[in-house]
Amino acid sequence: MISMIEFTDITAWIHSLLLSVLTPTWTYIVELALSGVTALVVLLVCVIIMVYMERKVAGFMQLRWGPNRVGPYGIFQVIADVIKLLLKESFSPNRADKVMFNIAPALALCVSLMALAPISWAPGLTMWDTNIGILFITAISSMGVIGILMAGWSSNNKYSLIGAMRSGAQIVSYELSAGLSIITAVALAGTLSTNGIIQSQADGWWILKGQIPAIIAFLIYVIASTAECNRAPFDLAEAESELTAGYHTEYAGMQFGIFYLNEYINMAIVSIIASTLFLGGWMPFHLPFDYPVVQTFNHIMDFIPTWMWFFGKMFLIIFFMMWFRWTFPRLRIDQLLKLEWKYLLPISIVNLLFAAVIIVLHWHL
Amino acid sequence: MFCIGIYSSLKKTGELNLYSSLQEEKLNIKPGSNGTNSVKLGKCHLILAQKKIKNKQMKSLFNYIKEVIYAFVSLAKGLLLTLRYFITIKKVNITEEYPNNRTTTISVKERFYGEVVLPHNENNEHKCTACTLCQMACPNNSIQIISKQIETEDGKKKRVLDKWVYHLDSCTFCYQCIDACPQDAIEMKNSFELSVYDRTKLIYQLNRPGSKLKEKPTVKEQQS
Amino acid sequence: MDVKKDFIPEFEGEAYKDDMGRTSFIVTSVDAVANWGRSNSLWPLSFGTSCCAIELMSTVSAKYDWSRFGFEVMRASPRQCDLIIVAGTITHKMAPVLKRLYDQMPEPRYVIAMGACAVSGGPFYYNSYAVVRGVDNVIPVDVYIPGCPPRPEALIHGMMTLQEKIKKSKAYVIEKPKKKKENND
Ligand code: SF4
Ligand code: SF4
Ligand code: SF4
Repeated sequence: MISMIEFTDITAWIHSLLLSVLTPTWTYIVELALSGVTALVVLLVCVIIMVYMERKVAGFMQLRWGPNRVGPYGIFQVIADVIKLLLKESFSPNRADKVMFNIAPALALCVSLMALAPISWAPGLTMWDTNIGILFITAISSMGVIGILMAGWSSNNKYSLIGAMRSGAQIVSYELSAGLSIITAVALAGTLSTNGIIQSQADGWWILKGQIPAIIAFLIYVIASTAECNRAPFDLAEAESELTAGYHTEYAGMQFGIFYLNEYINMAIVSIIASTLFLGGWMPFHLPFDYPVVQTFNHIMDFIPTWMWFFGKMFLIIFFMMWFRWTFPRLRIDQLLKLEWKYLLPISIVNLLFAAVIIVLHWHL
Repeated sequence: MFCIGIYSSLKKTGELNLYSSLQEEKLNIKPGSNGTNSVKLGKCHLILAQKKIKNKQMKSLFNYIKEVIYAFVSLAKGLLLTLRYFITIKKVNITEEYPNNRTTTISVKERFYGEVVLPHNENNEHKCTACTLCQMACPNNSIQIISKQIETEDGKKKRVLDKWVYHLDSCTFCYQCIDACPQDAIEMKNSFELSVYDRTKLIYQLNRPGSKLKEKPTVKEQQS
Repeated sequence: MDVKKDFIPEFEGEAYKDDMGRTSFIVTSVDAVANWGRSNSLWPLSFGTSCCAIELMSTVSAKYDWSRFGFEVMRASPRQCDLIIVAGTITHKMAPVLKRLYDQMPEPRYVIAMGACAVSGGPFYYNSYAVVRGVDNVIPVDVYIPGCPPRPEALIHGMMTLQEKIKKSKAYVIEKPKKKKENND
């Protein structure tokens, strides 16, 4: 059975194969490259699915069909878009700071791809199995704003600049409550390593075991991360009725495509983190009770392969974010900051205290 | 709705509290009375102000919680609506899939104005007498009637239609020309698939080559 | 409505040919892929100057839904769009703005003139000092859609006409460097 083949076996096999041919240093380098490329390819496929899904979800929620004429059910729509973007002329405006202007999209993409390193894709399948994985992710994800600010600043366009500044304010503010809700999960799990957090959910996901604080933290994390990804209803950085297209107003062709890609990669990473912290990552659905019925249920759940759980949860959270996007109207900038500083932040602080009490008293399951 | 109910009741009770506090103090406040009363009045105001501040604080805390709850309720409402659409899309979908429904369900009403036509009968005859009334009625010069002089068999000179030039590119489908036509020679068609690659292709000659005026039946023929 | 079978007007096509009049397989297949991509992902600029824009909006709406073709990504920035739908009257004051927007768009770019005003000046053709008589005086137009305003279906038909044009034209205009004029004397 395919589901019985664990990824550890495959990685071990590749490792031994490479060792038999190359020196250990080269093995290490080749493995690094291989894992990076694999993660990138998987992510790109995910992004293509996500863009298609976004357009279909948008259509269905607005009583229409969405793309359905390019290929069966419109599945080649995104591919057509990619071909077009690749073949489109891309240029930098005359007065722009050319070097910065061209580096910015690549930098934004690099920063968001760096957050992939400590993610645990499947049992034994982590690129960089470090014990500070979550800390690394939080540190990296707040750096995403640099690429955006660079893009806005170097375009020499007032709309870009305002968009970038707004984006900066937004990401810096929402980082706080996202961080606090991550801390809630970390406190529950007692570790910062992604693998450790997932292992701690072997007898049930934190959203079930962690009582009310975990649920509130999950909700706050989803809201804050939607804002961090600059997605509607928090897409003030590119509010098209006010700012044309925000920080990427001046970008054309594939450079714009990279920003577009970046948005979706960010979304994927954020939802992977949310599923790792609260929904157990690749961990199958287990119930935290000791009855024989529950035990059999847990065993049945184990038969569903881990990659299915992983991507299932990821796309569930992505669906939530799309659902928000196509339901809510955009907030104003002051409302956006008010939401963070007056509501989410106090709630998450109180929630963290609450969670601490629960952990100290061992009330969580 | 629930939250609005709470809010309004709270408002009422807040006011009630103020009144009852006045009564509790048992202050006799009469207009136009002596100094002691005014001292009492000042005291009363002080108490009232304190109570108000306290009340305000209570209220603001309550408002905060209430706002949070109400926010979640209203968000959930919207989310449920879109989720319902998402799930039951097969039923609620309202899209008319245009190029697929061209031959079936497309609903272009007869009264839709899409194009002026000059109908010809089976003998390649039309009814236009080249009187140029339509040309004069057209508000934006979309019609050009070009007529020519011919000689009929009995030697009479007669003016007939040579070219009925129709500029579809500037026509606004206002129906003026059709109202103006005394012969009912032109009609409005409800076509709409008129896109072209070249603007000159939008200038039509409506009378077909070799067409001629449909002779009106003479009085004799009518009687018989 | 009478039912025509070939409801999209023919475009003669301008497939790539070399000096001998031959077509190359690689060039034509690259053309085919590029044109397929381009024709199926036309992102219009959200640009509407008057009443035709209402009809443009209703084409975006659920009832006519041009997202079925993949056109729904309306970009507000001219840098990111492929197509400008001139929906409405272009006055002499707006014409430079339109020209500038067109210049800001990266190649390949297409223009649709929607409605009588954009095609020829329409109701203002006869007696107005303020209106440009046809946007083709300002920018090159690929497809003209007559009507005042055209139905949403007519706009979709116009877009499909444009798709036909894109599919049959060269993906790249390879221009040789022009020779200097030789002086014969
Ligand atoms: S419908 Fe109006 S604009 Fe069109 S030709 Fe007739 S009178 Fe002129
Ligand atoms: S169409 Fe009617 S109004 Fe116009 S020239 Fe002919 S007869 Fe006269
Ligand atoms: S063609 Fe008619 S509907 Fe369109 S902009 Fe002009 S006047 Fe308005």
